Amino acid sequence: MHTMTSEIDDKRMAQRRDEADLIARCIAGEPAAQEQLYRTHNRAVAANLYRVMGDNRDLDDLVQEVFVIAFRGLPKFRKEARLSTWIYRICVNVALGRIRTKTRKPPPILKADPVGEDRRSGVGLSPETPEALLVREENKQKVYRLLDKLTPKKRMVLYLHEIEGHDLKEISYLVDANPVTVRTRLYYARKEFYKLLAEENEDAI
Amino acid sequence: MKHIPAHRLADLVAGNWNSHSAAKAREHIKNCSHCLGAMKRIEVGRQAMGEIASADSPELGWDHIATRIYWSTSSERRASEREEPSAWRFGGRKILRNGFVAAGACCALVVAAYMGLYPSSADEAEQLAASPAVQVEADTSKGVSEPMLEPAKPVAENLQGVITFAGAEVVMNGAALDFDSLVRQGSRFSTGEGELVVQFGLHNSFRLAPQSTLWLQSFDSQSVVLDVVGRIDIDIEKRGAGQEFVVVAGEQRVVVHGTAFRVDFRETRLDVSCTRGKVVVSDGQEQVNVPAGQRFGIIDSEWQDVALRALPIRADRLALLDAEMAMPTLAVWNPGNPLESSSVLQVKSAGEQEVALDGIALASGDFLVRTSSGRHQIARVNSDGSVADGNWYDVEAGQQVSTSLAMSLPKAVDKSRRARAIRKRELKQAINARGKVSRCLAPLEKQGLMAGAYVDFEIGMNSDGTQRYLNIVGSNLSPVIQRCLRTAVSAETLAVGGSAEFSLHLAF
Repeated sequence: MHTMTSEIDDKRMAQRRDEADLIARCIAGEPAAQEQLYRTHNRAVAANLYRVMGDNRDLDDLVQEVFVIAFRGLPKFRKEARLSTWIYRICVNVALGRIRTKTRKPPPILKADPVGEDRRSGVGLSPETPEALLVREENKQKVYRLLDKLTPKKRMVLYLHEIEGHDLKEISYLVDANPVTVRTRLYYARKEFYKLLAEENEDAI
Repeated sequence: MKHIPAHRLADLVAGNWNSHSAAKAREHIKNCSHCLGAMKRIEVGRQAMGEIASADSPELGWDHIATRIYWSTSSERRASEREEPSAWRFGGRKILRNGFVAAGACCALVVAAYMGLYPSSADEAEQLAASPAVQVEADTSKGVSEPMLEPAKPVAENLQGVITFAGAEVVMNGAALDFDSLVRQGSRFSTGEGELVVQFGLHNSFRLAPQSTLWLQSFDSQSVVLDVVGRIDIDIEKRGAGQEFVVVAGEQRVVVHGTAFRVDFRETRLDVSCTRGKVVVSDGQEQVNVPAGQRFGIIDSEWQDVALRALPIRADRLALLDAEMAMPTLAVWNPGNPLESSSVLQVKSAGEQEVALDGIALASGDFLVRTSSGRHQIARVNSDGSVADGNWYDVEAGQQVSTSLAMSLPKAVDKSRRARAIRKRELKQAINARGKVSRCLAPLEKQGLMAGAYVDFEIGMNSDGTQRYLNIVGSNLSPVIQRCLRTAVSAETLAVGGSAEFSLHLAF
């Protein structure tokens, strides 16, 4: 048991060393290191942004923005968190900025995409009808529509807590706010969001 | 019995109630159709939220994004290498204080390289080096190349501009405007109620809006740097190699290569709209591309709080902007003597009567317009936009002809009053629809202190639906709530319509 724990610790230490080395090479401006960092985190960054925003319009621009900020900020990275967490924090802030400034665009035309949907949700083996898939997609869009009605800060805190499942301490790091503030914000956000959800027309959700 | 609050129902769905309370709640829900319906909707919603949490990334053009990131970061690196050591910080951002011209030139170069307008051999090599596989090849070619000879710099020739339009109260170099004087480097303008249009080439002109000031910091064939406070519309042809065109708006620079665009910079707010071509807004460190049909705005120089991207302009606003940016210019241009073969028409039309020159609506009030010699028609524009029959005037080169048009004052007043009423109604509807105002007042409402609360606004609305100004002139609310209300109201943008100034009283 003890051997197994120490093996995990060793592995973790090695990962940290690799990460520190990668960061140092990125700061030195080594293109290969930057490429490696990008390739390691690009999908996670895109997935995070996709989940926060609810659609993939301008997603490539947002991914670019996150990495540009990350490369620019690497010299200031204090290693108080994992690199992935730090990049996730940048994602949150970029998304927050985007939500603040985004104009009210009409929602994308919904389409049933059984193959894509199955791939994403991992339910490829369950025989779902296109209608059921469409209803599920509509329900997700409605959640985003209700999230849109919250202020950006409340929306983000609610998203991180209710959808991503982060605790208050993690959220306070991600949104750079006091945990007490986060707790208050989350309280009002939940109250507002679930009230909206509960008041949706019966046939709407 | 009271209904269970929705967020508590969500907790129940998530299993966060103790078993005793949960059993009691479920008993209530069984007999309460309201709570039952709410619970079902929350369950479905939470299920959807669970699916959102497991959503994976869509496939993107990863290599393309990588290249863009490389270019963004390397452009910054090149720019920072060019920065002087005396860089200083303002508003949390490092910018250069000295030498807007020099910085502008660097910026223009960087922007040009970024836009792929002037791909130098070094840039091309760097572009190739974005892929590690070809880096060696690029480096090898660099290693054997001979030192590059710096190309001879083209000689900068001073530009001359002519004033082609001037409304009332335009001041040039601290004195009343002399319409026949030439515009040169160092010229300064300030406009009162009227506008000013300057042409400096066959296809180059700018218009300074009312209540704006302009200083031509640099005005030669290689560098045009305009320092503006207020609004300026610019329509220029594509710049040649090494030529720069920069509009300085406070701490920001708008770098342009050949385009039609508008810069609106008042107090702490900068708004850049582009109708043709492409411009780049930069504070020396950040930069944002604003392509045709998009706009970019910042408030209080707070770049860090905005997503660094331009947003599309709505089609109707774009059409209006395009129409507004049309400028009266000369069809023939003689660089040696720009005033040659032009003549001046002085039009006096009291009040808001709009006047058309040769069938095209031009302006209202008193103004001077420069035109080519020949026969011209001056006519009134009717309220429906049609042009009435006007008078014909024959003007010769160098001649100035004056005319005055009668106007119908009551009509103008009616139009303005109607516009005020419509705009006021539209704004109220927009405010009510969004519900932002009620959110600002939520703390007061909670404490039961709403009765008698009020706020009085003074609002100037542009014809494109944006707000020209917004002031709180009276309120018995706390400054925090006032600020919140002001933000909520200022966020409202109306549809295209009449320009109006009005006061709005909101009582709660």
